[in-house]
Amino acid sequence: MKHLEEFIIHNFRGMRELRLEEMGQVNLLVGGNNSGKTSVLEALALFCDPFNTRTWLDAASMRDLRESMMGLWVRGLLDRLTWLFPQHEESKSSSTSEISLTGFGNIPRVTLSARYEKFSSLGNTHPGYIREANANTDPLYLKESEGMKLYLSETKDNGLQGAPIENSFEFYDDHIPLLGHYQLPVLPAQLINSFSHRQAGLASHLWSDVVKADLKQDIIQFLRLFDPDIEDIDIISLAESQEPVVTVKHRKLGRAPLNTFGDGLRHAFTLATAIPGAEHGLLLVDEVENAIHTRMLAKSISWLVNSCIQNDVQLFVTTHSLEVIDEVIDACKDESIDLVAYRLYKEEGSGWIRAKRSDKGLITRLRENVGADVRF
Amino acid sequence: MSLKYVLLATEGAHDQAAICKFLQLFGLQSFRGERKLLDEFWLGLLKTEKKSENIYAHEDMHQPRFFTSQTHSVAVYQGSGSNLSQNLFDLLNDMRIDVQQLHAFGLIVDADNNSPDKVAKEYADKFRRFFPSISVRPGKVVVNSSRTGIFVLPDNSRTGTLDTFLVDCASVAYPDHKSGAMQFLDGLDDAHKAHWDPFDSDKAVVATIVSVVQPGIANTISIRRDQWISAETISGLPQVANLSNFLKDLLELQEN
Repeated sequence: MKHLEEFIIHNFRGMRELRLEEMGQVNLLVGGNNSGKTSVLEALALFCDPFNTRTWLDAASMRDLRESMMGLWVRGLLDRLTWLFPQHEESKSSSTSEISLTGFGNIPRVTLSARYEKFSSLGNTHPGYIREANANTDPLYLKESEGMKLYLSETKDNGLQGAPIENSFEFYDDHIPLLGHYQLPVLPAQLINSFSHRQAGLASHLWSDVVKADLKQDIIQFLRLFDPDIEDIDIISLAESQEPVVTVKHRKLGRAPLNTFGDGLRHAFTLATAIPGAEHGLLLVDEVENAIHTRMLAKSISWLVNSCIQNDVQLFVTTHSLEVIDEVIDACKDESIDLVAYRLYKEEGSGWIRAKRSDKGLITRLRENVGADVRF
Repeated sequence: MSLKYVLLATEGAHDQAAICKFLQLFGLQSFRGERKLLDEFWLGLLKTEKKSENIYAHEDMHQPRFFTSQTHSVAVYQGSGSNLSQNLFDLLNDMRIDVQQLHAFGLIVDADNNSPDKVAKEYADKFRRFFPSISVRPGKVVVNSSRTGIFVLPDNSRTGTLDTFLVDCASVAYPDHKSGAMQFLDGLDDAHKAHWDPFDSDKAVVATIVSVVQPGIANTISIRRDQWISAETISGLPQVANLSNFLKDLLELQEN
């Protein structure tokens, strides 16, 4: 089932207007560096769950390894959030500095609009916000904070004349943001990037979803492709004073924390465990090939595609790898699976990012008959 | 002054070699193959290893050949025989190259299964989506935003293939070899030729001559290096002159 058939990005990062039409159940995003592949995933994630502060923080920080890994959102946060908005000259006027994301398909047409205002405020006056641990915590110490207020508006074209849903939240340059979820998501979505597998706490969160969805044995079976000695996975404390963590029961190593295993296994774990949270929604995977050995690609991609189909997940993957493209084509051989590839490129002259759509027949012929390098 | 980009498409490696020989005779420089020196405009035409479970599947993978001059950048694409039409259509449909920037687009194809008129019409109908003014008339170059044309071998009127054209060339370039080759082939019992397809006799004549002119080398190399297509065959044979003029007209080359 295709939750989204069409998605229109207006004024997001470097994109003025990008339209992705006739999406598939499985969607490949290819293109050169800086062509906007990751931005599309970020825009989809924001569209799906815009009233969740965490979504904005993740989208703003997912390109920064350190911030993403450590959960250090505060450092440079306002700048990173600002860069989600268009920065071209025309965007200096308020009408063109607003992000607009529109999508429809199995859901009615939904448009999210977002704009921001920056401000300064004096003192520790933001109820509910926690100052950064290393900041001056003297309550009498008055310091001017820089802040940013996001204004969000979501309109839903479902035949009813309902008012748009509106909300706003604030971020500060010296306060750990208050995480909050102010509306139900438009669609469930999971965004996995190249270093999600190193992100503190994410593995436990995802594994809980797996257990709740009763998919534990499926995932362990998949991970045994990478390491056949895996016997079981649990969240436990290995020592009394330690926080519970995801641990792997291993035939040779005994019980060991997941984070002591190699990047390939951990990335595969993150991909697989993200599926329950994306059920009836979208799984957004940036550089799916990351850390996975070429010999494991076929099985990994095949498993990922099949799991998405079984769990009603619409899959979006970016890649720079021709092998991944070929494996995705193979994994989608079944007539019932609708595969679409979008090649993103900068239009000569205007510099606008455009998408060239190829349906399953075309992308397959280009690879199997023509031998074209469809990444560019 | 910006370069004039020209895409010439052929069905097979032999046709590609023949067109390359014409371009050499026109004074264009053959690109030596260093990827980083290739004009970015053509990158989308390059073939990479095909997706296949068969480890030998990429052995038939022939890259386009490129030629340059002060004014022109020419690609000679070959599209796996009868698959040329679909393969080239898919490449253009996927915007692998910027059709709007093409100075000229030409198809050089065989009339081995149909009359030249029918072959030209089928190709013109297929590619009209990209080149609206392309003519259905074999050999006709239309001047529009891009110059376009379809040349149907051997001469836009007879049925045949490149080999038919080369057998004609041999009358001027290798008359003794041709007569010897025909004598040898005619002397063979029909039982040896029972499996031949139409125009295989032309292929056999060409292959026999090549095996004497350059023993042990492939036909493609002989077509590119030897005298099949030369100043003498161009001046001595109208069908060779026609193809030469077709290409010059398409490329908009100044007459020397």
